[in-house]
Amino acid sequence: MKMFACQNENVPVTGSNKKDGTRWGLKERLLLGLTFAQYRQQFQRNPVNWMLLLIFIVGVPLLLQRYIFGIASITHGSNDYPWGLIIGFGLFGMVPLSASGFLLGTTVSLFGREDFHPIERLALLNGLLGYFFAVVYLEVDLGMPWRLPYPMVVSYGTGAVLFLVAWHVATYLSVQIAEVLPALFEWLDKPNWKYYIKRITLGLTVSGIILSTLHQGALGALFTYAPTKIHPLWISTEFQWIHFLCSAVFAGLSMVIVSSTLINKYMHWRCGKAFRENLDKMTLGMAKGASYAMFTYLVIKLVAIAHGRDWEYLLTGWGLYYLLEIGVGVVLPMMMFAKGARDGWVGLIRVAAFITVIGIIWNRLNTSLVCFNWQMYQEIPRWKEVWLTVTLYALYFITYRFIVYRLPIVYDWKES
Amino acid sequence: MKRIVRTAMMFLLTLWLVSPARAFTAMDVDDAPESVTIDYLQELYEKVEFDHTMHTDMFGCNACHHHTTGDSPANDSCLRCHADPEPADDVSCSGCHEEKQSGATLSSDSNSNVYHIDKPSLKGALHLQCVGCHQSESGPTGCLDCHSFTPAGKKRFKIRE
Amino acid sequence: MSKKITRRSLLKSGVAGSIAALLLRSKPSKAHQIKTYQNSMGVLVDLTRCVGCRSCEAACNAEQNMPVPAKPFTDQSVFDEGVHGHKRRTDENSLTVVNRYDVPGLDHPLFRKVQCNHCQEPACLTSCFVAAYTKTPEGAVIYNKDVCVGCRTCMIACPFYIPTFRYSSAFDPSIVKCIFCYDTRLKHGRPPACVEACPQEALTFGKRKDIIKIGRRRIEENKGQYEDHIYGEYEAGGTSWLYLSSVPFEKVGFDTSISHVPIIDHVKNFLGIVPMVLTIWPALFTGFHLLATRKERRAKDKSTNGQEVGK
Repeated sequence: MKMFACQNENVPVTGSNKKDGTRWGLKERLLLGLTFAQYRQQFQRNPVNWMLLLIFIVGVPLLLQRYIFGIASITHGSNDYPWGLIIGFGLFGMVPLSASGFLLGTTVSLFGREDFHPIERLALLNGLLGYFFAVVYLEVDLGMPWRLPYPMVVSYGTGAVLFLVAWHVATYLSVQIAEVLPALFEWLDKPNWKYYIKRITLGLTVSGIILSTLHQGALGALFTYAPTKIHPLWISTEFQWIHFLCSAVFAGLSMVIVSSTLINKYMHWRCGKAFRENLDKMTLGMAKGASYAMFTYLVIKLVAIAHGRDWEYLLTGWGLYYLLEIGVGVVLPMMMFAKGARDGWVGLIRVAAFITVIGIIWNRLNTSLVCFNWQMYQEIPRWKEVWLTVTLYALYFITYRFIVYRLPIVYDWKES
Repeated sequence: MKRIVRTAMMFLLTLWLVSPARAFTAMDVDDAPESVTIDYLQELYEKVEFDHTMHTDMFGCNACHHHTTGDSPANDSCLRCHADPEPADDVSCSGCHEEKQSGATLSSDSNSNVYHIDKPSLKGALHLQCVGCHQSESGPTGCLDCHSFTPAGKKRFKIRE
Repeated sequence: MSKKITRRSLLKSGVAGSIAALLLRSKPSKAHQIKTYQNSMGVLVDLTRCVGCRSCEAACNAEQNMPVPAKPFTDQSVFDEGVHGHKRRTDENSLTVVNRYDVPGLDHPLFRKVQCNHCQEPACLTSCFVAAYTKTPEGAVIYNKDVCVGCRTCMIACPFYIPTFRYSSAFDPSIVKCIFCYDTRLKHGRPPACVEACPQEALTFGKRKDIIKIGRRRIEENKGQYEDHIYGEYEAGGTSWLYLSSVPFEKVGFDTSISHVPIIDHVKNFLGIVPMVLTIWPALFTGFHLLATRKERRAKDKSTNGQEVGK
């Protein structure tokens, strides 16, 4: 893309009009301002696209197999492990990483921290796509995916935690779509449409916080339905929801750092001036917030162990595994965040963010799969289930990339 | 099944009762039937020809008939109430143990004077008594050792020929 | 009072009072709080009587029109068919299974029948977000496949690992579990098929309150032959299918770590805060917003005032 940017002064598309004043057509906008031949050239030169092609060649047939022949053709169809990798990663793993929406939205719109404005849209998009694809993962895992709207319109089990999750995710998706729509409106040359959304920004933000608090906590509370099945170090019936909520805070922030790092490095041509100039400062700020959240998380984890009198478990094999997860997934990156934020080492922070994201996914997989039924045999997912999970993530990746390539997410749209 | 056995027993009992020289003491083993036909589980299993004499040769009446024949009960815990038992009118199993489980009709609200709230149904009584003893004393314990399947029974248990 | 009440003393006493209130909270009543339909039915399962004949499995299969199994019900080799080193469990073709336990020290194996325990406050029911489960007045926990979405939360929630899912079906999956023969028998006051089929009367059917009495009577009358505990009387808040055993329950595959409260009690820690968040968060965060933006608003007011003054 850099090559084409050097050749053609109009590329990349940064506003409604080209340099000579003529308007970009929709097809041109979709093709990033390149000719079809150029577009294909840059597509083929990108090794990531070949990897994605390989993933989809196997993955798409697997997806079809799941829908035509049933879940048992893809997974072990285990009755002891009803939730597998698809939900463990796709829902429980991706939702905390998508908490960035309400975090940065609150930071900018509620707390008035305009210095984070350049990254706000990326965080909102990260949140929206994460939740949207969590629902995609859910539709792949659900036994009767055509009945997804049932808890909304057919039959209400109001006392169930999942009822709250369903309603909140549905409502929150609408909130997030509304928060990302301004970027779409700008790109479509309809800036006037932004007006109605701007008017309700504060309301959207506050409802985003309420909804996020509750459903991030609710995902943790789901596991309190099975306190005898999860290893005591990973389950605390009193504090599970706080664990999940608190970890979602630093998960979302870390995911934004990871995402912005990758975009800044591999899509530098797309990054606008405000984004590029402020990225390091914003990264330092987010790292500071993340380290506070991590410290709080560690304290609550300690309180939970004390409350449940689970100290002896720390001395077992499972206990060592737990300490490893906390140590590598939380303590290590927390110290890296703190050090980096204090001394301005942005590189250290970026590495810490990657570690944190892995740590979060690790924690959620531990809670839902590894330490679930800890006294039983260990369920190892089938390769098909793993490949399908990766395929759906690849789909999320290309959607993410598609939008960031085009819409004014990391750059400012030049209206005319 | 109960009708045949009951008729047989009533016949014998009547004989015994109208016999003038008989006083009211425990029943005599010689008046017991030689063989009893148990065809209670007719639907799934064939009937059983129970060799009564073989059992009376080995055990006393109270081994199976509790205290209904007039003998002292074998179980100490029964002595609390049935220390000096009189022979019952009907000593057949079906005379006391009903086809249906009593639990289904038992209501703790009604007739609270009944002590025996844990009385097994006829099928349960037969198996618990017979198989239980066979397990400790040695005897047939497998289902098919005593009664073979009817075609319906084979179908129920999904036995392929 | 001789001492003057200063702001500091008020603050001190306030903090002390709050800490005291938090620490000295009165604990909720420890009495077993079990909700019941007063006349719901139950079944007492006596492990000393079961001989592993599998008549109950055969009867259930016939009553509920389940598929023909791989091995006939007379085949005792199924007891060795543990998967992953575990005993048999219910699956989409078996609503109930019997397992054999070779307990060291006993000269004969013990057998245990596994099926839905029809809890008083079922975890499956309380976790279902489309209300697919119902606890009937007769005591059965039944399932409505017309609203089920296939999320399988009930399978996660059931502490006894009972509900199974028809993963093999792409277009008509559902949860499969014992329904206490509700449609064909319990509704009409009759015992389930397995109870009627059992030759050894290992299964005693009756009102839950009555069979608890029977269980206690059995333990009393046969001193030393039974563990002095009816499993299910309080476990998971109480179940309708109750068990008697001659050996400690954990030796015959029972989970004795299940607490005596309904599963939903563990979830109430979260459910209780939901209304609080919904009511407090709007005011709280609007307040934060006003706090955070007061400088801006003050500057804006100043400039507008300035303009007016300048007019």
